[in-house]
Amino acid sequence: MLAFYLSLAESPEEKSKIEEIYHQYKKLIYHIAYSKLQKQELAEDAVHDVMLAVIGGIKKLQDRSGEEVKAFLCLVTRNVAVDLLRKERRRAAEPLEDLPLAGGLDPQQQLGARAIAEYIAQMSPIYRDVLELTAYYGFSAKEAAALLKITPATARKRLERARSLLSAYLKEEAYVG
Amino acid sequence: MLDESMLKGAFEQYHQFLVAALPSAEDLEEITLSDRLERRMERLLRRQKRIYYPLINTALKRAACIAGAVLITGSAVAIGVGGAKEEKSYFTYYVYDEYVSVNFINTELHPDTLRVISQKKIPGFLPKGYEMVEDRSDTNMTELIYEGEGYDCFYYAQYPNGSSAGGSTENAEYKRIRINGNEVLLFIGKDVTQLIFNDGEYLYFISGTLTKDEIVKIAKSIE
Repeated sequence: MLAFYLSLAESPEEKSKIEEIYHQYKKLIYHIAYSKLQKQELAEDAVHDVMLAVIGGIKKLQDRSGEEVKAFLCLVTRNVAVDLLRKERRRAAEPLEDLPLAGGLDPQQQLGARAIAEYIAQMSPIYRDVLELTAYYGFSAKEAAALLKITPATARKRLERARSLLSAYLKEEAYVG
Repeated sequence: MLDESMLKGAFEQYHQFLVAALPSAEDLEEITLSDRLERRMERLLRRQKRIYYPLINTALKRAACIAGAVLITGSAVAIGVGGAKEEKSYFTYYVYDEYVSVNFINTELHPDTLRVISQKKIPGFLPKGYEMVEDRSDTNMTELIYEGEGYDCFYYAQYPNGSSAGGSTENAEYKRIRINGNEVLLFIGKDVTQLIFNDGEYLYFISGTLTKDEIVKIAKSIE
């Protein structure tokens, strides 16, 4: 059964926000994509695809700070670039690298948010991304799956694994501490 | 058990690390995006402002509450020579909370009939200022998007027989009229008008920022 409904979609404020995000961050998105794809045309395709993700997720981004929007764009751009690489039938020579952290991590280990932040930074992106999208940005597992170009079942498994890794880390730290 | 507020705080700190490592606006100054991308993005940004975007299948989500089902027998569609005295098709209304779903059933359609578009039909009439901007058609459906001036636009679709279509009754009146001998469902909302009918071969759907007269003229001109 084909059923469709003409939706009066986003509010004017959300539509403006989408434009604002594009004009403010288009070069950043391109830069991140190009660093993975090394081809202008592909990197520009990535910009387009990232903006599609922004349009789809605008309700979750509407009231976010610039820093939060940037972090979201980094996450999505990285995944879009990987997806484009797959489509180009190239295999990444190395696993996805995290973006370098300025000044390195604070070596001091402590429990609480900072300790978790450090662990998150070292976590494999395949687990971190789905955890970030759900726990921080508020996307459902199904929405996160769509953004990450994976199946909902895979998203749920990765989320479970991410939480389990984090819980184990915290338990270990508490034990050591 | 993970403390969710601590987890959020952790991501905030992680974002600080991440963003601090990103190039500054000055660093990115040298990047020049191609005209091709800028044109493509302009179209996307313009299109996302349109009220038809997203034109997605949210009907089932909206149909959380089924208020009732009404079976209505439509008038006969003349298919064979000599006119039809027997009903060859009928349509059903499913009345949901904010939405009406219309299913066209062709009683002579063999269940194994391949649901393809063997003859693509497009509107011959376009309101002033409109042009087709996108053709998403394939063998199973004709799907065209037209844009007018400003934010005006409409969507046209042709589906194989046996398909169903939904019209929204939210803040809209709906009525049954006749066009070219076919019974038509017309939905007139504040910003959007929708029209659905079946001519015995295909199901047609038109939706957009059109007046009642415009949408009826478009439907009449389908050939």
